[in-house]
Amino acid sequence: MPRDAGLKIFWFYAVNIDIRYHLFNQALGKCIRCTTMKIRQIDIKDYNQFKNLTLDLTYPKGHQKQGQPLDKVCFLGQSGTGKTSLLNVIRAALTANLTQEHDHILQGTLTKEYPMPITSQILITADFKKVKSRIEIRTEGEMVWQWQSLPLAMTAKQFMETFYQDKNKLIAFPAELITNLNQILQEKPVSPVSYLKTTAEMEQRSKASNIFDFETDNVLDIWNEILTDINAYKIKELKYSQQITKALGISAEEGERAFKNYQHWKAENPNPLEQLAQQLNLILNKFSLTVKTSFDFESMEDLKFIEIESLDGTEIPYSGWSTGTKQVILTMTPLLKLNTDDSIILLDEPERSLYPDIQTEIINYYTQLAPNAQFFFATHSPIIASAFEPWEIVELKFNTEGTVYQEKYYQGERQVDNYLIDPRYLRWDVILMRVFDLAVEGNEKFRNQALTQAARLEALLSKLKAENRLETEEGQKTWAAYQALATKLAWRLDAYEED
Amino acid sequence: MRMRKIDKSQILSTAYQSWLRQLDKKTHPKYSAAHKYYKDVLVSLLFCQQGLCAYTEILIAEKERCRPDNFDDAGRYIEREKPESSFSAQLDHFDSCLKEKYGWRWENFFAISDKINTEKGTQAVDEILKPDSPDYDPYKFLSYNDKRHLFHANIDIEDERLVERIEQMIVVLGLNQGTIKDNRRAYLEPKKKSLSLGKEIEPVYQFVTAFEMIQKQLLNRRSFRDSEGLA
Repeated sequence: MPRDAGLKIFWFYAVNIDIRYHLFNQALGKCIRCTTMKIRQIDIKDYNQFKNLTLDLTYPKGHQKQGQPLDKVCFLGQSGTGKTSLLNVIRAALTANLTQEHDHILQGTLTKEYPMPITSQILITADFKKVKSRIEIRTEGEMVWQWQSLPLAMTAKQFMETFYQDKNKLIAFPAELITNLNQILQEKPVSPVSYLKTTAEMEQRSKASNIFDFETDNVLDIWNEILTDINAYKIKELKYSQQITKALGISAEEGERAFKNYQHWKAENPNPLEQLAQQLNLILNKFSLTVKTSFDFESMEDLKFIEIESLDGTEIPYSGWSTGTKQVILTMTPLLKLNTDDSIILLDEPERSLYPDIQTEIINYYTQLAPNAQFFFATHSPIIASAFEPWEIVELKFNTEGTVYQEKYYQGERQVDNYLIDPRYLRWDVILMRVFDLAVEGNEKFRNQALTQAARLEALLSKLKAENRLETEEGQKTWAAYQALATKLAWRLDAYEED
Repeated sequence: MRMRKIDKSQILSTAYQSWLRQLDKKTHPKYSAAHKYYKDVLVSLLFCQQGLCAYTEILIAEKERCRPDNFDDAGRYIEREKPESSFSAQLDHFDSCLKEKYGWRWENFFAISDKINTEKGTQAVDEILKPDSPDYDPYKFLSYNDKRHLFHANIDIEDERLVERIEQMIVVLGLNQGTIKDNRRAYLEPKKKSLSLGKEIEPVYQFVTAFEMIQKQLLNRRSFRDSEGLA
């Protein structure tokens, strides 16, 4: 078995990854590029808290996409069950560099019967349509890729380069994403020259990588790459502004000519920030905010990052940005600006700092922005969970031995009709209890006792009514006590009436 | 099946029973879930309780786990692989004050849902709702509000102090606890609807007391409507 002993996957010690690629057409790179890449299964034999865990990430029988990898996956589970670890495993598989060692031809087919190699600890199975590939990361420094059905005369490296040409393998958002903005703002003051230099460097980085991991140290580089066209546009606009000032110093006519040049350029070149603003404003307007799309260049802040203002036009300094605003801008902007076809997108805690009403919509926003990507979310939010089909949810739980298993939502065969829980149909409190296993429905110390007392008063009122005694002193006293409790419990006051 | 005075006269783990007899009235060894008789006691109770939580009557063990063939000839529980479940069974000391000195006393044990075990904790208990008491009768103390799926003190009880004691025990035993209530509603509401439409229903395997009370109330309402000529 070929090995690449130099490969370092630092966040887990023993990983074995299996990727299956499928291909519509085995001959032409053009067709390779029109295929989709999605992970379809993760098998973990022994890694951290996981033992003999298999996650089937395909649509079940009876679904219109039956057997295809899921478009989006949501990891749920108590802290420590390994949601983020799973995201890291996927990240590790996609950030590995391919070498000649990875051209090994896979013997046999990658079916369920295909034995897991003895040295393997984790298997991730993915589809590139018909091209199959298997990556084994066995130890911290040892990873092996195996390939099946590669296009003729193509090495694995060539295949991957062709497949990901002008596309991105991975876009990964950590839970602590908002620290990105602090890192950007803490950078030394910028100048147009340094921006142009950075832009050139970014173009080089882009060709080499296809990875956008917002947890890495080079966050500034990544953001400059994402905002390349916006920054270039700002710099151009700044130059026109300088030219107009200079021309006005010569004569009014020169100034007018320079201004006309600027207007002509503006008419020919739409501001890329306008497009971004249009999408971001769908959510930012709910916070009474909007993206600032015009610049006065009175400060170099205009060149640093996206800026926002209130709906009445008051600029909001970065120090005044709410964490929810940061979260929305820092996650949505990359999805709007980058090519997300065939990308794997990891988003840890998408609910971070978002008010419930935004949480109800955010998953749809994300998936609409990247319709040809595969998303992996990890969440603690019942509202986020309600955006998923039941087979898209992977709920991790500890068993009594302290290892992790996946809670099954279906009985018998894995078939759409056999699923017992579907969060899309449930109220939030029911999702909390059924999916997140919260045992209580409120502050039990107060609520439970009040419920028990109110239920009795309700029964008493029914009895008094049947006996035509509601207007007696006892009836009125009972009604007053019931009214007080029912109001606290937010019960309908007429609900004691018989059906 | 009816609620649910729990008959604990048969202990399947005869090994535990003998061991307990030897302890007699001496102070018991420290109670621990890691103790060799923990599962023996738990599964013996599940047999007596027919797989239901002693207090809330939610299903906490499948039939297979409650059968006598889970024990070998020496009266020990045979460990078997079992699928994990959302509602798992745990041992509860009904009166937590007895846990330290008599932590292995059979009479003080019940198998209950893990969802209510933590909350019950060391709260003081009242024997009026102890499910294996000789004079235990849920109908005497409890009623069921079938619209909200809540247990409450029987409205025929006029003694306010007794009502308070019952209400306190309803809370302590978790009879109206959030997830229990939610599952009870989801399980019983379709059955209630079927009954009211006169349809056949599958045998009830959990929440049997609440179901019996619902049945009784439906009958009462029907006879009331009949007597008023409303049917």
